Amino acid sequence: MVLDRILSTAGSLDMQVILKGENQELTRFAGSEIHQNVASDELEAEITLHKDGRELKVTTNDFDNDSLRKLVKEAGQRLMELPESERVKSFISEPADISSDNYFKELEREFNIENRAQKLKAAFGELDSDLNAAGSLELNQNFMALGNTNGITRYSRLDKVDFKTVITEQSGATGYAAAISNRAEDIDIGKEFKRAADKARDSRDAIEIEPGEYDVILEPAAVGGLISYLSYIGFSGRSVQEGMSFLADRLGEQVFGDNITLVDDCQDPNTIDFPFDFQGAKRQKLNIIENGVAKELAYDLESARKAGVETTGHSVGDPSVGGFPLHLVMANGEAELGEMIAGTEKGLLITRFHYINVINPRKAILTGLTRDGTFLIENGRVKAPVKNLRFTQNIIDSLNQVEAISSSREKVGGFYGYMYLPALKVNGFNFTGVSK
Amino acid sequence: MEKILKELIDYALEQGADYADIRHIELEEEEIRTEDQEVQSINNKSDKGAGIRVLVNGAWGFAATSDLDNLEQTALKAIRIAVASSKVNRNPVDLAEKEVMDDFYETPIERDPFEVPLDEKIELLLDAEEKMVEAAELFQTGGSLSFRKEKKIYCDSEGSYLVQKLYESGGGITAKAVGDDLQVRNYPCGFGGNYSKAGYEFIEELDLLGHAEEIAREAEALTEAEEIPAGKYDLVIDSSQMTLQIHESIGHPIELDRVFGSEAAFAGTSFLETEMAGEFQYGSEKVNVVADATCPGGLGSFGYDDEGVPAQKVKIIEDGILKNFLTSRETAFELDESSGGAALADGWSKLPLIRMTNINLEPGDYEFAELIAGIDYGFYLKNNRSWSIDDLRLNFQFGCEIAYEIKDGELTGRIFKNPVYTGSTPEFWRSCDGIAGEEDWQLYGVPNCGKGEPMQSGHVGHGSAPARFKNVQIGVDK
Repeated sequence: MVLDRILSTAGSLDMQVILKGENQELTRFAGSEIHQNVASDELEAEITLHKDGRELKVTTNDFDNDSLRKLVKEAGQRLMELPESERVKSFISEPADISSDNYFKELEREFNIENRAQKLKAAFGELDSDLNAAGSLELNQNFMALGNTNGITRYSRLDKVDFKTVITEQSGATGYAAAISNRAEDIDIGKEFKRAADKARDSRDAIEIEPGEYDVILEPAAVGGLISYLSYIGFSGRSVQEGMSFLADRLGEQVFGDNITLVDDCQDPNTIDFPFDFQGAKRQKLNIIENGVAKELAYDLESARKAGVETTGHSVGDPSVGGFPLHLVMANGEAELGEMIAGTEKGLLITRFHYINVINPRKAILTGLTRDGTFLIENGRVKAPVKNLRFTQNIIDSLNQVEAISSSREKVGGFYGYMYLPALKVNGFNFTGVSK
Repeated sequence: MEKILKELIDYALEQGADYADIRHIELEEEEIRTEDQEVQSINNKSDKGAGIRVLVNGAWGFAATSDLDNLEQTALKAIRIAVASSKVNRNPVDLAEKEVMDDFYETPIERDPFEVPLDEKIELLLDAEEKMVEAAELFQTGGSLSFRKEKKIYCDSEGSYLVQKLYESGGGITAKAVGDDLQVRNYPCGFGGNYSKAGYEFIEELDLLGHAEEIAREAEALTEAEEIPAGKYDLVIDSSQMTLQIHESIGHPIELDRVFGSEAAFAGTSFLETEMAGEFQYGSEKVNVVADATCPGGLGSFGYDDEGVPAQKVKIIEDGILKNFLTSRETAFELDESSGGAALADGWSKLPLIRMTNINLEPGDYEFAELIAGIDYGFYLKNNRSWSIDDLRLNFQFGCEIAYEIKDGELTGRIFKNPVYTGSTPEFWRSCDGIAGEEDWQLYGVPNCGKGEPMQSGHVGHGSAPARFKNVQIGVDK
């Protein structure tokens, strides 16, 4: 085992090794042709060394015995050049073993090089001549093994297919659809093409509307954009410690409407099965927001120690990030999308957002633009497509203004892994510009 | 290595490739971070691998591996991928002609950053943090340095064989203060500092210690400052923010693959079309922009791109008129031109895409004081804090760290917090009525330009002097 070979070079040092392997195959298409079609096969080891409060990390993809011994010896020498520190070793010692294997051979067969090309060719063939397709179809297989000189071992193997498409109608109107899953039966390329094509056709002859406040119905992909950024700026213990989080000094308070519940749960079958973190800690379920009340944050060992709590098993291997939730699930409601539209006097239906960024993290003010399917609703009906709009919005306010939540949810890709989210109807969403 | 790579190219041709190239890369990286006057992390990375790109029946295939004993299998995989693609595509790829080259290029450096003792680097950051802590009441301080050394060998079936040794150095410091909200000042710019294709001398020239007290005091003062008033104002924008303005509203729209729709499903397309070259009024006549991969110290400088095309200086905007795009061999063929040398990949495992080199706004003929003197009431904005632009690269919105008040043609000394400005790309650049001169022109490096799927991180540069823009919308984050 490579892991054992590396650990055997530790000598008198404490050591943690993360071995990461990834086989990624991605077929990209534009203008209804494959323009980029790639595969990469990577294996690398991240080796963290610790001695008397000093710590450093070296990463290599050279697994020759002599090279490994030389790498660790030189890293050990550099370690002793570091200033003395009271830093506590971030290596855990229990439980001894955690492993999970969610690798589906069927996924590999169904989405191999030739099948990906053939599936796309068939889908291109079904498109009307006034439409063209762009997008990507990815098969990703990866594993992570972790061990340390305390004797623990961890192993996780995962795979997924990630598909997304933007269909463009000859006038330039676009529509978006996507699917992500580790089950072959969940990825129906023809169905997603049709969904995107319908949106593209419905987006023809978009009208320009004035920026201002609108009630919005956000499809799950749009919700995913906002939740990803909220998570990035606010759901980690470290972001609170850094003063960046909108939850700083607000834990235990009602921050969102009581219809908002958001958990991070690696046991949920609609997220990835990755049961330990990058420090080997067992991943805990987090009740981040429970009926609108801010309850629990994501911690790694360092940020947990600083806060005087136990790690929640949310390290992503970077102390500047601290904990990060990878398995976000938002509680569903009872509404159907059609009911949300029917109950809207004047508002917008939004497919997804583009280029979201943070204006003010403490106030959770985000900006971004609508994209690939934005529609004006009047008197309970979709009236017309509209030109893309820029929002600049305090998302705390928005999650206090959620009038309805859909009963159905979708898997939506996030910064890492994927989330499981409903559609939301949000009142008073602030648009500050038009794309023109 | 030369023999192995040339034999591999021959093997790919024997197995059915019509064209093949290979990049073999050995990379070393070091990153040092300090926070609150302690070492936060020391990361060193060494990495090697090879990526093989082939054309079969006019379709691309690409495969990469870190297992260098497995190169023939990787070449076969690239061919298998290209064959699969060729059964779908109707329009075969053609490549613009290029000169066959056999050459060596090395980033000019004075001090190899990997030879500088670790304790010297750490001491620099901790000393800078100490100066910040002594100067003001801060919530958090931090610093970072990062270095990169890349040995890249390029070999193709047309006969080119190129070896490059590229160095990068970067660093910066951060002061955070908390009042009603969090205020951050960075030097020399946000998000990890400034980066250059250079040695450790670049870090020494940054003079982190000399700027520590100023940003600490400004971070503290910002917590007491008023929000910038909303409205339309004349602005002078510092080079530290012009970097992102150029990057998002010129650099990305001129990527010809984006114009052709290659990024349509991901980062978007461009409001530009090829027919607009030579005609389109991109900006005022003051605006002259080049894509210059030969620029000394530019993070986007190199000897050859990842298709073996020599580094070039290409006119993008001349006297406000769009002239050229960023091109690869494939996209240049469509325009019946030779490649502008802008095809670059993020390491051995990724496919070359059209990337910015150094997209530079050329200096104007104003003194900085003249720019300020031409404003009755407005602001001087520094350092990027946030960025966002639509999928056609038209509607943008940027946040900056600090706004300095300008009144009756002078900086008053008063500062405002949370400046955000917004606009539309051509309208904004047409409102540029003055650019400072060579003495105020500065290069900034952006080491994290995201593009493509799988996502690639580009290392690109932008040079500019402070520039003045009329009647810009400020203050929309209400």
